Amino acid sequence: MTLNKSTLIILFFLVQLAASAQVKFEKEKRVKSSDVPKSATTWIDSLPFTHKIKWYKEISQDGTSYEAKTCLHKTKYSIEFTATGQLIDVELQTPFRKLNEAVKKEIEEVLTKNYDKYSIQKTQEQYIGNKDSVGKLIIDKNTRSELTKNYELIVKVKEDGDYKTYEITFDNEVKLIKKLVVDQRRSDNIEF
Amino acid sequence: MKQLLFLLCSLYFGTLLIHSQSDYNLGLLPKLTLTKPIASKTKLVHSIESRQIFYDNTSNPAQTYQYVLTDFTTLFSYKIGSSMSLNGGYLFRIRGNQIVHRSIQQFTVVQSLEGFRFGHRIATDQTFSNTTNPLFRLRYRATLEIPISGLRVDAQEFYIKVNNEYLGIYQDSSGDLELRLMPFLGYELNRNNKIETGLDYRIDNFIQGRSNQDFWWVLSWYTTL
Repeated sequence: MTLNKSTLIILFFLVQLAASAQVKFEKEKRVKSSDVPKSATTWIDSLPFTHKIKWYKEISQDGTSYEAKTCLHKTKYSIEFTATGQLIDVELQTPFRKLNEAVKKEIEEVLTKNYDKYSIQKTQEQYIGNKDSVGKLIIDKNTRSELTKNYELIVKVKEDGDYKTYEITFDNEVKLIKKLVVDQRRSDNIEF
Repeated sequence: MKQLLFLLCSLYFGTLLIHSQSDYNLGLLPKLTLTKPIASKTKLVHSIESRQIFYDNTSNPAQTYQYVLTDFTTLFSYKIGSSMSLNGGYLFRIRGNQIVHRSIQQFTVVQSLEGFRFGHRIATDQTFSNTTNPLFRLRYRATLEIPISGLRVDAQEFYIKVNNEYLGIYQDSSGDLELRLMPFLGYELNRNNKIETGLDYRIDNFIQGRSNQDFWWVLSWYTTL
């Protein structure tokens, strides 16, 4: 029996998704732009953002970083920098339905096969590259070959009878890169 | 969001001005809520709440300190979705020489959105005692929780919480309405412990007769075992 490429890719990620996931740890705090490395703020100020830029300092399982959040042409942007101001990535929030059809279909197939139920809460296109290429992407929203493109999804699932929330990152070929369990805060003070 | 909050508060307090002639109480409402998870989808929630009045203008002369009541509540909570629960339980109230029994049914939804959480609670309860006729209520409460720093509340951070509740009341073949507004300042000590303080403002007999206003200063501790 021969397996076609799509089947192989789906089988690969079924194994990956079935593997246990790390817990996502992230703590962020709003900071002033004067608290952020100048190389980051100077570069952000050179871009054509018209809305207010909000800066956050983030401590996560990956270390400490700074994140600029803003909006341009009705698209929410998150631009992340290292603690020394080096660009890490830029994420654009996108409705899942607006993703490429082939990508959407593959993601849906994997989620359907792995979980009893799922609901995609948030979808982001993540771009990694140098400042020049990322800057041009922000200006004209055209993908460039020198940029690495990933998809990051926040998905609520029902798995083995339990309800969980995952942050799942796929690469441009829809191969799993990372799967983190999002630890839900207790809501007793809201419910009772 | 800030504009919506301001509008809600303006409408709320504007409506209250219409009821300027009313009785009122000022008091303290300490509350402890203890949650015990049983399994991944179920938990027990116990709470103890008491009320003490420090000023009551309905008495002549106006009365100062009086102990009012203590409530003991137990609820069983069952998760029916990632953000939805069905809860049912019982309240036992000691009010002077009066014992009150209340059965409670609730449906809750909590939405975690970017920068805030929003909760809805729809509830019905039935209250029985040997000194008053049965009382039936239908309730809806909206809750907004906003972190003061960052996009979500983390351990050792403050937050603001606002509850707005509407209670439809039916007793003795007549109905009435009670409104509640509760702005709180909260502090998350750690994942399992939160403390909140603020005002629990209530106005009842809204439709019939002379309205009664209660101003409770609330001190709440939410803890999970």
